[in-house]
Amino acid sequence: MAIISKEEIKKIMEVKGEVIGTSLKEDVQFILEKGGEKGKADLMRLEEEMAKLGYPISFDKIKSFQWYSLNTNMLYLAVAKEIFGWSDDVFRENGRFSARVSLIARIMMKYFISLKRCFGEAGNFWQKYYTVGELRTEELDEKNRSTFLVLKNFQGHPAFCRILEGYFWQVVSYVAPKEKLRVEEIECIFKGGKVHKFKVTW
Amino acid sequence: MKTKDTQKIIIQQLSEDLEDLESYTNDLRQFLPLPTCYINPFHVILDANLAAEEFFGWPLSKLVGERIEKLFVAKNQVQEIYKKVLKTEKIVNQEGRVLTKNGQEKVVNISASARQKNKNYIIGYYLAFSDISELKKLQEGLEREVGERTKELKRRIAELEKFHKFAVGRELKMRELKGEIERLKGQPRKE
Repeated sequence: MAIISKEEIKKIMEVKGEVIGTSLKEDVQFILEKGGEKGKADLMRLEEEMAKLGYPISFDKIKSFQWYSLNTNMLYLAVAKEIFGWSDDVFRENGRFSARVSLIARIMMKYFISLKRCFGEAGNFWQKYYTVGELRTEELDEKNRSTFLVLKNFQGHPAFCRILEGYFWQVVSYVAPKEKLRVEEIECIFKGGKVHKFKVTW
Repeated sequence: MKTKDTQKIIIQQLSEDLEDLESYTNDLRQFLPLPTCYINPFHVILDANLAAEEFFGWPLSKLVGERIEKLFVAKNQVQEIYKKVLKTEKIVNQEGRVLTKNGQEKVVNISASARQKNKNYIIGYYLAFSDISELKKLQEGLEREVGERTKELKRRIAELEKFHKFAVGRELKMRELKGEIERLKGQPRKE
């Protein structure tokens, strides 16, 4: 029996758009570091499971600045959830990790100098990663320490929503104190919402 | 107007150029032997090279996102460095003490340089750490040895002075006695 149902695979394969290779490389790095000594074996297992499902992927052949199908990205996250038993917190950890080692984040470093500049570049940030979806900051309130990050026209996968929570948390932590920093998805396409909406407070 | 195919070729070429650039910076990052970090104005570490990972004992994924104060023994030294960077844009070999993952203290010479956006304002700064712990130990050992030898020398000088005083005193006494003898020799004997 396949680890992912045909219905779920079909739904994931409907995801449009592309993702930049460096993003996939961040996931690979996370699997290797998270797995420790068995990191390489974990990665191989993920490749094997993807091949079994009919969507083979060679992680070591990924190029940082080539574009790849977003649905393959979402599928291997769903597979990872099943085979490694990753919880929501592990996916958040994946997101935080990505933002820490990310090449894109290094390109965007010049904007990590104030809350305004950082949130102001959210859309630009997003476009460097994905060919679909628009990310926008709404209601930035520095006095009350809160804002919303709204992602439109993007399907994704529930596990990916957790990754985004972690990624946003990490990036905001570069310009805001970490102690009270929270990022929580308060509206989600998978829960009947029209967009993915994240509330950020610090 | 360029055709779609031409645009595709250009994009492909640019992607390959970026790959090369990434590979070059990665190689450089791994080769440079001096531990180096990049910090934003909030004093958060945004990047570090392999030498920094090895020197401090933290992998990149654990260093990035941490406040740079975490690596310093005297936390307020970071503010001092930043103020100097804002003022002079550069610091060369300022001594400091840093902490590694396993709590080991190391003496370092710190150099810093500001990173500017279009030469208008500072968007962060680089910190490089040169480990002088061994040199410092050697220097402290030498200073200790010099101190001990100076102490010993002082003790010997004091002894010598004491002896000198004693010897001169004795000489003077002898002369005095000789004079007394001469004086007594010259006097007629009492019958």
